[in-house]
Amino acid sequence: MIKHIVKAYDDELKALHALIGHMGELTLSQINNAIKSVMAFDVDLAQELIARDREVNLLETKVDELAVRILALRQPVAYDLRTVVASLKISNQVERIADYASNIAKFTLALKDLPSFPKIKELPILIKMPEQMFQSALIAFETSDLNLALKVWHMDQEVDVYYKAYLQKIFEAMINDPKNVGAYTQLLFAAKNIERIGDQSQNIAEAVYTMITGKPFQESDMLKNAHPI
Amino acid sequence: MPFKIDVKNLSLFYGDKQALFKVSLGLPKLQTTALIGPSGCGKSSFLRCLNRMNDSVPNIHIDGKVLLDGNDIYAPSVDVVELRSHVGMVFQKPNPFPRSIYENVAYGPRIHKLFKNKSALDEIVETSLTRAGLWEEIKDRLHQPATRLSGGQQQRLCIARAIAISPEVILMDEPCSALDPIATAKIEELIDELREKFTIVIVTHNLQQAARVSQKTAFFHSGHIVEAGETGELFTMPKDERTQGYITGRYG
Amino acid sequence: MKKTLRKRHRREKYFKGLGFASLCLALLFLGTVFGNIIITGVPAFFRTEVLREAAPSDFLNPHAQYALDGEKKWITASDEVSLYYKNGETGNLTPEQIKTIQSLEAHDQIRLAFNGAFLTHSDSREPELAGIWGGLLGSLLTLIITFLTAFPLGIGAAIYLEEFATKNRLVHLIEVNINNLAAVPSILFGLLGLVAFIHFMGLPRPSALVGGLTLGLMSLPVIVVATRASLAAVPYALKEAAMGLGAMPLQVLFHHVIPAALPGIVTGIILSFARALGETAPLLMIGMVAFIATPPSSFLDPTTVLPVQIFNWSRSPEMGFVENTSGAILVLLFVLVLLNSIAITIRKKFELQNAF
Repeated sequence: MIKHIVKAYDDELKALHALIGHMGELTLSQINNAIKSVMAFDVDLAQELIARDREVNLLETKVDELAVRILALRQPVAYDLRTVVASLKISNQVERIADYASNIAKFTLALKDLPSFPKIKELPILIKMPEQMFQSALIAFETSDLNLALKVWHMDQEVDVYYKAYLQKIFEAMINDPKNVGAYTQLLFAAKNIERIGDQSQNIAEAVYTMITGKPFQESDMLKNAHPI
Repeated sequence: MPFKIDVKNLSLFYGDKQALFKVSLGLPKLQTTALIGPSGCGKSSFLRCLNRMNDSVPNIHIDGKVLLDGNDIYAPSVDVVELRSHVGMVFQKPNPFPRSIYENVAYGPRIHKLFKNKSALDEIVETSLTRAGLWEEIKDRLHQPATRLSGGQQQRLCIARAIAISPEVILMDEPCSALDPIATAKIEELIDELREKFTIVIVTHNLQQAARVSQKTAFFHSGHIVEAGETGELFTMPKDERTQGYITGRYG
Repeated sequence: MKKTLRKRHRREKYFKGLGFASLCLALLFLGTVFGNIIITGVPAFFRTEVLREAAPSDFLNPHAQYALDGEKKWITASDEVSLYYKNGETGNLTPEQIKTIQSLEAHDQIRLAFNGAFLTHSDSREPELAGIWGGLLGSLLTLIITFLTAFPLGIGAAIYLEEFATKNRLVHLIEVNINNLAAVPSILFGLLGLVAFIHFMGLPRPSALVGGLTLGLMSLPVIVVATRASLAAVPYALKEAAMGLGAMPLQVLFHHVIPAALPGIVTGIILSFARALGETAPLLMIGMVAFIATPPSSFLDPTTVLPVQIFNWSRSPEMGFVENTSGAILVLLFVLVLLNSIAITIRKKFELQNAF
């Protein structure tokens, strides 16, 4: 896109993008570490991760401040306005995703105190898809890629498939191994959080869609027509 | 939606120089239409075509039609004086006559003989000033020179003067460009209220103002209308790259 | 930076000082001229009178002796006596005569009286009896003609050129020529008047009519230029405002443009008339230089005007005309100052009304 006549305006919009990019990277590493800590019962990693959640919150505040500042001082319209509004929404959603990551890490602490139980290998597989959705959604925002955003949105259906399969697995384990039902419940909650990461990433994709097209996101339109543009 | 003024394929030439290229635009009745665009894009020329203020410019040539309630205002049978009593105008710089406030408002009704007696004229003056939101401020000094009013008051007086002859359309050529933000806000509020009775066309360089006061916006660029549409839509989701560039400040 | 700044300040101070000095110099010159004129001119308003029974008959003014009946006690003194009494110049007086004057002075039998005749008499060969009434009246009649011709023609032409004429080559040519005419030396207008009004139209020669027409011609371009300038200075916004309300071009002109331009127009006209009032050269050209002892009673009578009378007096050999010349100049200056103050008053009054 052509640059603004006022260079400082461009710089501010760039800074907004950079903040969200930074937030995204941090959150992504939080997700990875969360899964790692659950799989390895690594309490130190989990605690460190939970402590770092504050950084993400701080970044969200920064995004909010900058966005409000741009709104007040530059009075953006059209694409600029939609970018700023999308940034506000997306920063909020990324922060929620970071919360889910620290929630998962908290289960590590809970599982630690429980008696040992057989590992569920599917957890790393389950996280793959939401993680990828999240990453792609941020790229779609960064590059204004409508197709990528739509792809992310549709990926959530696959996440649901995996999630249901995983639930099935846990239920079976609960029935077969009732003495470890406490641990399985924790894993159930962890899975729920992972699924929520997918949902939030889908919301980011919706925000990117609105940012690019200027139209409010209509779920029914999407289901009727896989790739409208 | 009925158009109060419907402009069809309007071309305007100053000598050899063409200022408007087959411009078509409908101005919805009892709504405010904002004309935006960079300097020299033809928006003011367009505005001046709507009440034939361009007539006195030498070497001017106009093609196309401007339909006011379906009648072409450039038809030979149309009297400019009568046209201007239907289509009033407010200018960029407040330009009250160097007379009293009362005489300023009364001038239009006087030259068009719109009243029967003195009390009828008094009533026209009071209604116009009230409608322009000025009555309360100046009712005690109606016979003082209009030039003693502040810039914002002068501009509202000019609006009162324009509506005193009960036009159907009011054209405003950057009416707030010489005013401070408070005076500007008062005029904008006034424009919003006047919309009940008048169809308003406003040229403005202030995009926020266009966004605030208008229901329809037309973006002019080098003599063409690039895009015209509902104001909210044009400012959030312009269809044309050039509109987008202009309103976001990426105009090159 | 500091150094150049100080230099710049110094230069500014220097320039201000220079301007002030030139102003002082100009005032000095003006003061000298006016002082001189006033000192020589004021005595013209007084005449020397002697007590009839005390003074020898050769002290009495010969013309006054015939003019006055026997009842008057005070009689206008002769040239020489007057000159000696006012200025102390002996001239042709014998020492005995001087002694007599001194004794008259000692006994209060000689005095200065206000010379009403200077304002009410017309020209005369005798400086004591000469007055400016004829010239003043002549100037008035001439100016009336000038006003009647130059005012409507000038304003009309200016309004047409400024407001109605389409800008084409012919109009442009006329404009340029009018501007040039305003700068043409006035004597050429005298020549034009001579040819057009006297030779061609055969109007009576040194009359107020011909003089007025000639001065009218001379004032015309100045009035046109001044009027056009003040019409052009009326803000276009004002015209637009009226047009936007649906006023006809004529209404715009008479309701708004002319009232707004009036101070400038009036000033221009009064100033050009002041110039016409003081003009001599073109009037000499059309023969208004003759000695005319009777005030004009119509526009066609032989007439003289104030500046021409001053010119004539200044060439007269009699000593008494020196003070008459200065006295007449004082009257002329007074009238000019009067006209200019009227112009300023009108301007101020209209400007207050039209404060934009």
